[in-house]
Amino acid sequence: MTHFTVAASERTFTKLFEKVRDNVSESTSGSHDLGAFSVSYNAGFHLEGGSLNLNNNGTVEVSELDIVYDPLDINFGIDLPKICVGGWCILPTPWGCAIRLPRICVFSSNPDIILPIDIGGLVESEISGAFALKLQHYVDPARTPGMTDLDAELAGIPNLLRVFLDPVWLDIDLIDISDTIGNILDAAIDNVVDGLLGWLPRWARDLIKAILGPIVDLIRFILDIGDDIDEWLSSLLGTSLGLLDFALTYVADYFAQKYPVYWIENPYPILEAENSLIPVKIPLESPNVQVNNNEFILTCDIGA
Amino acid sequence: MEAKVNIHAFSTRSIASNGLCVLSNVVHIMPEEGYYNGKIFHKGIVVRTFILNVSEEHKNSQVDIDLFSLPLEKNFGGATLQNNYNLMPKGYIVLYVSEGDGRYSIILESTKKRKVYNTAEYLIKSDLFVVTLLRPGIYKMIDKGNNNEGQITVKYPIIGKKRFIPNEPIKITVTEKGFSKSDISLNPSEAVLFQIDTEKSMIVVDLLKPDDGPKEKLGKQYRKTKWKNPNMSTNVKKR
Amino acid sequence: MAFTDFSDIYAAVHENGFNYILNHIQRQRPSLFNYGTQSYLDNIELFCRRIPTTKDVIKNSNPIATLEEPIPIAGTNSVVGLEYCFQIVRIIMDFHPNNTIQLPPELKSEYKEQTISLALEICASVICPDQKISEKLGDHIARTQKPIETNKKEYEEVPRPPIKPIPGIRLECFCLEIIALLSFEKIIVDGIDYLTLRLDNLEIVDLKPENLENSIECYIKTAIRIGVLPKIKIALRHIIGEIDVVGELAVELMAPTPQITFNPSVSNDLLQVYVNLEVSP
Repeated sequence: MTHFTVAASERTFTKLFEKVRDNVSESTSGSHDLGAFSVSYNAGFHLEGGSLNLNNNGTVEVSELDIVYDPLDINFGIDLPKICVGGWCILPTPWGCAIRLPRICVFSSNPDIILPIDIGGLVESEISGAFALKLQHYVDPARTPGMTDLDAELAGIPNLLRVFLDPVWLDIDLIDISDTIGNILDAAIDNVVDGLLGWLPRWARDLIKAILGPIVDLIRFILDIGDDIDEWLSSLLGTSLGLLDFALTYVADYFAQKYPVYWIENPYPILEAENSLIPVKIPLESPNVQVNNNEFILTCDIGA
Repeated sequence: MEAKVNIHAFSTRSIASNGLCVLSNVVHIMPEEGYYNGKIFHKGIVVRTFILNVSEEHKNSQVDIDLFSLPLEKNFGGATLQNNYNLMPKGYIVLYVSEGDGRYSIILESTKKRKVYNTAEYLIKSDLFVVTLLRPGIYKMIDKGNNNEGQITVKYPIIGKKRFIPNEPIKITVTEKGFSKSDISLNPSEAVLFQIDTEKSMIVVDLLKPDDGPKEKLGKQYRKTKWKNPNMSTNVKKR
Repeated sequence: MAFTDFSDIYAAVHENGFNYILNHIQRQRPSLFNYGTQSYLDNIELFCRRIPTTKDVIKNSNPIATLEEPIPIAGTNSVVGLEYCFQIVRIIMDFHPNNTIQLPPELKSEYKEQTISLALEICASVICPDQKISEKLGDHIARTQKPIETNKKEYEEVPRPPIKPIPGIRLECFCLEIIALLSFEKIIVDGIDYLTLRLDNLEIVDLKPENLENSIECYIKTAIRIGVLPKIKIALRHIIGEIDVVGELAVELMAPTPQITFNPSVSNDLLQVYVNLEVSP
């Protein structure tokens, strides 16, 4: 019979999980050249929601855990086609063009136009996954070899038994919020084009727009958006920028190594320090953690 | 981030063969072998020189000469390095202006026969003069060498669902009698190709009546009104 | 059946584990289990039994034993006293049901469910004054001290100086075996829930005459109730492995229900507690 047992119901374990979840917060930035356009981004994310299920097979299943990206500032560097006149072939022959006039460019954007979109708080990913419990004996790196357990306790760096949620599998999906993003994108494009051309007389603006075609469509074409903006955004954030992978990897690493769902000091202070009296600490041996579909259980023996 | 606009292309209202600009080209055939000294004039002043070498040894059938950015001659140990162009006989020189306010002309002088070709005076038979028109409106085309006129209408651009692709240049033959087509219509950024079939020709295309599109609506304007309380005296002193 | 079928958090300590805890407390808080007058504290070898302690106790200058005043000698106006030591040298707990400690007949009838039986061995000794020193002291007192006044007020107004120990030789230690019945109860100190032990009854094994046994039992009961047990209170959150602290949860000891009639509960050789998450308003 083990000496010490503590069990937490699924409801309690959910509260412990929520504390870990609420501490997840990270940011990243980067830039990529995607050929037709370049992208730089600044993204941060945190976790919200999620429901938890304890399973008889010893795993903790989490579903619908939201990754909320905020901020999510993306800047597209778009190279609008130049508008050039001339270049006519004025003496065609069966063997090709004998005289071709040079082209004179009358309009270009220099450097690439920057299309900023701020979609922080509008894009979410959803994570589902299963975790196994991982028990770790933790010694703080700041603890020196000469320290006793009491010295470590008094220095605020006691040894710990830590329980982590080690991912078994994780899935991530992008959530459909296309309407808002589509509108934001179009508004951003209009804004940029107005800034670029607004100072030209109307006929010149209209000429440029006529030659370039509807600029919103042109830019969408350059960005390769297509009909399904969800798919495009998912591909951009996921494949091109690697943002979804980054978030997934960070979350997995965080749960597995950075923030334990539960921890207990070892030796364990059963009586606290009182006036000048030292705390009474008891060694915990042979610890074990498990879950079933009702509860999380920690058992251990008390050392002599 | 800013738009790089060739301002002169959008602000030009008159295009003439005796003063080339960004929207015009002259194509001239060089039938005979020989060395030719070229001078480039900007607003009547020589700004560059070059040498054109027409010889059977060369395979180029076309040389493009940018009257705006031809490099200066380089002084090299006392000797001056000229800009050199090589062309095969019956090849073409294509004169163009990549930037700037225009009014360029050239004089080509053969070293052997002292023949002079001066675009500031006239274009000659077999020359081609190409004009690209951007601004919508009604233009007058004049052959000052033969006192003939015509009209070009440039339509207002239509922003369609697809990108606009300009048509091939409209060809007009210029003779003593006049223009083969004296009233033409084209879309903005399309061109007119004047094929000179007379000994002396000087083509001028002038914007008569611009079409700048519908007037843009002003922003909302609020009319200010003032109301005075009729029960209050206008001599009320301020405390 | 799950541990948490009736509560959010469940914790249990087996009696074997609890005995290890008591041993650790004995070694890390020796002053709770060892008492003596100044001569004993100055000379640890005088104690009846070696006092087990850890290096941290010495390193942090924690007391090995609690300093006590000498027992005043009657008739001396508490001027002088007898030095002594008192130690709890062995302590074993047996949670319900009783299967480790043999109960004396006097306690068997009182034993019921939820009871903890406790076996203690207590050793004590006194330093007996030398005869010559005693006689000299007696002479001195006869010559110098006033007769004992019955005027209580005058007696109380004069601050009593510390009792001076009379030097002597330590007599052989004597040890007593004591069996006690206790139960767990919850107390709240400064808003924090603690579990502490309540002494229900105590019996010294084989001490005669009976009235002497009763008197000494009375003293020991009082000493344990007032002097020892109040210092052994364990915070509820320590019993539940500090889950509430880890999760920043507000918890409370569940009130007894038809399914859980006692909380904390002592049964099946276990101390069990049932705790619920507080429902926020």
